Amino acid sequence: MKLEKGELSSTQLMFLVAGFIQGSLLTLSFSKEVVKHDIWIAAIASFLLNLPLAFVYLTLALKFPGQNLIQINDNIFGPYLGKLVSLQYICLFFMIIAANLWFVGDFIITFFMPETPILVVMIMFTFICAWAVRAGIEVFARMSFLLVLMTSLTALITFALLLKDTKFSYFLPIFEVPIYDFLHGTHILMAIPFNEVFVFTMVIPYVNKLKQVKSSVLYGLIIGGITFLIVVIRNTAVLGPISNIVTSPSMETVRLIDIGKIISRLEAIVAIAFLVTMFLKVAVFYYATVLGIAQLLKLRSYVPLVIPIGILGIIIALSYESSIQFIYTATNTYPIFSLPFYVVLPVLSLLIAKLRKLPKQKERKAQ
Amino acid sequence: MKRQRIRSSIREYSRLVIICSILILGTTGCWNRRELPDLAIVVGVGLDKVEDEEVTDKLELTAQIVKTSEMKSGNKGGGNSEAYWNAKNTGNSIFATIRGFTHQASRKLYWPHNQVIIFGRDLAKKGIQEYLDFFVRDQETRLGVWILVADDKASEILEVRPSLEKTPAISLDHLLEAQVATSQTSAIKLNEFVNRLLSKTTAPIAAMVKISSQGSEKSLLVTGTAVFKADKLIGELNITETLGLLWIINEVKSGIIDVECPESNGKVSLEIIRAKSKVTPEIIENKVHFKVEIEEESNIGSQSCSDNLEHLDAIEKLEEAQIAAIESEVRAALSKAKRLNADVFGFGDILHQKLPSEWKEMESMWDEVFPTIEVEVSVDTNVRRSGSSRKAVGQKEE
Amino acid sequence: MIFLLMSVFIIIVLFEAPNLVRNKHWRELVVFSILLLLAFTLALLQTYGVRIPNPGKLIDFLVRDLLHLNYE
Repeated sequence: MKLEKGELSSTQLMFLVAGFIQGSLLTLSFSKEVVKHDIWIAAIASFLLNLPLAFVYLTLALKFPGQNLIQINDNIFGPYLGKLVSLQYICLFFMIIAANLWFVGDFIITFFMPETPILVVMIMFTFICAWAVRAGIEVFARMSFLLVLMTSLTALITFALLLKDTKFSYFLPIFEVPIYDFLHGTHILMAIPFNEVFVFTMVIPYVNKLKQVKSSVLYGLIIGGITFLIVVIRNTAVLGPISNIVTSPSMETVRLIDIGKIISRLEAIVAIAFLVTMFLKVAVFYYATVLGIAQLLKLRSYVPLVIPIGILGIIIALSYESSIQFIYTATNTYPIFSLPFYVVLPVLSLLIAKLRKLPKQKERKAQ
Repeated sequence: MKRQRIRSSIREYSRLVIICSILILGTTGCWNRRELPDLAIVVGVGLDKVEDEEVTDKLELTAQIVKTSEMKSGNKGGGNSEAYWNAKNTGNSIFATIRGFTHQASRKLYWPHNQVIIFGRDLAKKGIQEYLDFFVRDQETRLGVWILVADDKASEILEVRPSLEKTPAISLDHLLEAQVATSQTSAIKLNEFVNRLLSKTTAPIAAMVKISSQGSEKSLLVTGTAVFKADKLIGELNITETLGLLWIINEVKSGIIDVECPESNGKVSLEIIRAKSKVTPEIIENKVHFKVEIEEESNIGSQSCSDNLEHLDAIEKLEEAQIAAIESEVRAALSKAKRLNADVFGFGDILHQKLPSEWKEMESMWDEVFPTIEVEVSVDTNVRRSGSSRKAVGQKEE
Repeated sequence: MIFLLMSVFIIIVLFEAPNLVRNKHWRELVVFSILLLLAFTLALLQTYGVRIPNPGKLIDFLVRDLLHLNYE
């Protein structure tokens, strides 16, 4: 029974994935403190390491065409255990909404409006996200093209404007950080955002051409990854060691653009560009959560659930007390926490699906 | 039926109105509005050390605030009011001092337009890390401000009335941007300064600014370089040494070299068009060697003798004279840096980047290693053009 | 503050509930009410200053104190 009436085209899926990954451009600073100037290698490494995982997710999703994650879990793990697993995923997605909401609020409050209470910013952001999710996924998938274009152009143009200030000697010596720190940094980059494409298993059933899903997601990942690389290289080349100690290297980098005293103070454009992709990210997670709950409880439509989940999200987001604790969690403990959800469980699901030769109408054990 | 249609269209309309009003009220940032008359726009800030009765080391902050109404051009002679106001405040920590301005100024200070940060000499000798931390950490301040060290007191620098601009801070900003024409001082911005500070071996540098009085007129002079060790001022480089420093760190964009005429008495001024330097580290027998290769192109700017400079051997002689001049400047910089034991050239960082494994042993001992490094300088110059005239203006002396 | 909270929630109910009742989506109405009630209580608690545990602390507790698997 389809809860979602809309349909996505594969190009929309590609841009949705790209925008989703670009939404995490501001969270690069988590990994930067750990890996310092080798972050470009960490970005490439985490992208490559994520490709097999993405392959696992896509195979799982395509094995059960037309079924989203909740239904897949029911299929694989059986009715009771499957519901438990799905519940865990929904809680995870919900938690990610709250965390990202807090991050957006903190970013705006720090840089633009220090006296506004964070509640107001969060309410406005959730308002827009809730509206988009109520309208259905097709709506913001259609927008994703424009948003991705805006963000990619911003990254390229700021890079071009800063070319005269780049010092590529800041990248030397290459691979200076110890292996442990490098793995740590790569893992952070994998947890936020590359592994989060898992949430697209909730979205893929509604794409109209299933054959092109794999290539769309791959291209989306590539676009997102290239934007990542451009931003990371730009930040390291322009700022050097300072980028390791500032909260948001992208903002500080763009503040240095000053061409003829006319083209300056561009940081607002950069902030807007990266904020709208964050909107895409939160909207996708929001959609996944709401759809998941509706599917789990066998409701006929997920629309009435949107607003209560939104309010709950804001309340949980408000419970984060300080940015220091948030950064600590995101850097040190969250990557480990996300491991079972993004690595262990999907691989396990795929194995079980293969072993049980699903989806067949009758279950046959391997002969 | 008609009533239902009207009711549903009223509902649609009211939904639209409600949504629009939520968006208008919520997304314009009205909560944090700062109207222009509420802002005290700071264009320059000076920090000095003062002595107080109770506490010996207090910070005096001079903030140069723009009077926006006086900034209209063409209004210079009119009233005697200047376009700026220097507000002073003292306090123990920089943040407390800045907040304390609300006791005197009717507005809160607004930092994004700040152009320069000037440190007084005494304060620079004491150490400036805590002040730099504020300027990096605060969200309003920008990393692209110029850092200057005043010869004496920063507040005096901000008092000097500029002749071409409206405010001293803005004239200092233009002055520092114009420095590329002569390359006699190192114009450093906050982010480069902090990068040097963050490195454990490189010594931060900043431009020095003095007040030169010609008669009763005072004007600002930016000349020479201030050298820091960690965050404390330890010494200065004069013009020749600064030139040498700039040659090595590849920051010479333009400038003048005066050399003797090849045959008669007189000087030829050569204008530097392009300069590039490359530093390569080597470790030979446990001693650190740096090879500095400088390439330079210049044009003939003017000559005071009437030699015929169109011959190739005249040009060669000029080039050799140039090489000698550049080498002497570089040597002067190196010896002064060794005397101050401050690695202003970033040699430690270059060693770190090119030979990281050897760097690990030397890093902690760089203070002892630096005075013993050997530097080999090789210069290559080219005189390309001679301007608009080919021969000298004047008669050849017999 | 509480007045604002209550008015917001009442507006939300007025916004969503008539649709659900009219289409006889009873199950959805039940879930909607439960979630909204949960949100309301939590919001009330927060307005009164009761600290709600946040997920970050939960993750920290799980990974650092129980499993000792954290990076730092």
